[in-house]
Amino acid sequence: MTFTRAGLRKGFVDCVPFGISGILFGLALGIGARGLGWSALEVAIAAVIVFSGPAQLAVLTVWTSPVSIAPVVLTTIFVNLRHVLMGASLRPWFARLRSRKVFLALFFMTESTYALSIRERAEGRLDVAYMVGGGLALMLFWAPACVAGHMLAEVVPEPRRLAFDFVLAGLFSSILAGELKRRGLPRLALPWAVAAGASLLVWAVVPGPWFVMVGGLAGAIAGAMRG
Amino acid sequence: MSLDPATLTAILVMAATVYACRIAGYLAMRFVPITPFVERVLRDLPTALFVAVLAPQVAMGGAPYAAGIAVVMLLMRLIGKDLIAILGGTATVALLRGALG
Repeated sequence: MTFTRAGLRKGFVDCVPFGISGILFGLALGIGARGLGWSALEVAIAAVIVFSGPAQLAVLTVWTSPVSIAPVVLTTIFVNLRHVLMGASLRPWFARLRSRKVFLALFFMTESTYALSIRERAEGRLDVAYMVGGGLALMLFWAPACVAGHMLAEVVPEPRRLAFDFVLAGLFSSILAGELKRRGLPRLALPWAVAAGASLLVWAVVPGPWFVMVGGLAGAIAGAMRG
Repeated sequence: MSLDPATLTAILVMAATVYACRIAGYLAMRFVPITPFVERVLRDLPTALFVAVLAPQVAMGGAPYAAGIAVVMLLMRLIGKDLIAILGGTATVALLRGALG
C-alpha cells in the first residue's frame, strides 16, 4: 500500500508496449472522428480527458449532428460498466491509501493498467503509483495517435491484418497463465468454467457488453463459494 | 483548430461519465463489509472478468484467436516472459489469418 516514484516508473516502463500496441486503434479513432466532423483539438481533448478507447469509439457510433447528450451518456455507461467491477475489486488493496492518490490512480484505470496492476499485486508489490505510471505511458501514445489519425486520414494499414486487436486478449491470457501457475487448475477450473459459460450464454442472448459483467461476477462468486 | 461548444460539452459529459464508472465500484465497496466471502469474490473477480471477455472473442475469432491464446499460455509456461508470450500469440493470430484468408 505505497505510492512511490519507483512504482510510477515501473508502471510506465511496463505499459509502454501496450501504449505502442494502441497506436493503430488511436489512428483509426482519429480517422472516424474526423469523418463525423470533429476538429483535431476536440479529438485531442477527448483522448486526454476521456482516456478510454472503447468509450470513445462507441460514442462515435451514436454521434449525430447536432449531438444529443442522452445517447452519448448511455453508450458511455454501457461500454464502461465493467470498470465498476474492476474498481470494486481494487478496494481491499487501494483503500488503505490516501483517497486523493486513489482517485488519481482510478482515472488511469484501463484494461491494460488494471491487468498489469493485478499482476503486480499477485507478485506482492502493492504500489498504487504503478497504475498512474502505466496510464501516463498509455497517454503518451494514445493522445498523439488519435490526433495523428485525424491528420493522416488516408495512410493507415488495416489493423486487423497485423492482429493488433489480439494484443489485449494476449495480455489477459498471459495473466491467466500466471494465475494458473500460482493457484493451480484444481482451484481455478470451476470459477473460470462458470465465467466462460455464463459469458457465452449472455453474449448469445443479450445484446451489448453485459456478458463481461455477468460472466465475471458469476465466475468470481462460484470461485468464492468453492472456498 | 476549432472548438464546437456542443461537441465540447458532449466530450466533457463523456469524460465525467467514464470517470464516474472508474470510481463507482471502488466507492460502492465502502458500504459493503469486506467479509471473507466478499474478499474471495473480489480476489477471483479480475481473472473471471478476463475469462468472460475472452470466451466470446474465441467464439467469434475462431481458430486463429484460440490458437493465439494457446500460444500465449504455452510460452508463459515455457519462458515466463509476458512480452514474448504476447508477441508470439499476436504473430500466431496474424499468420493464421493470413493463411486462412
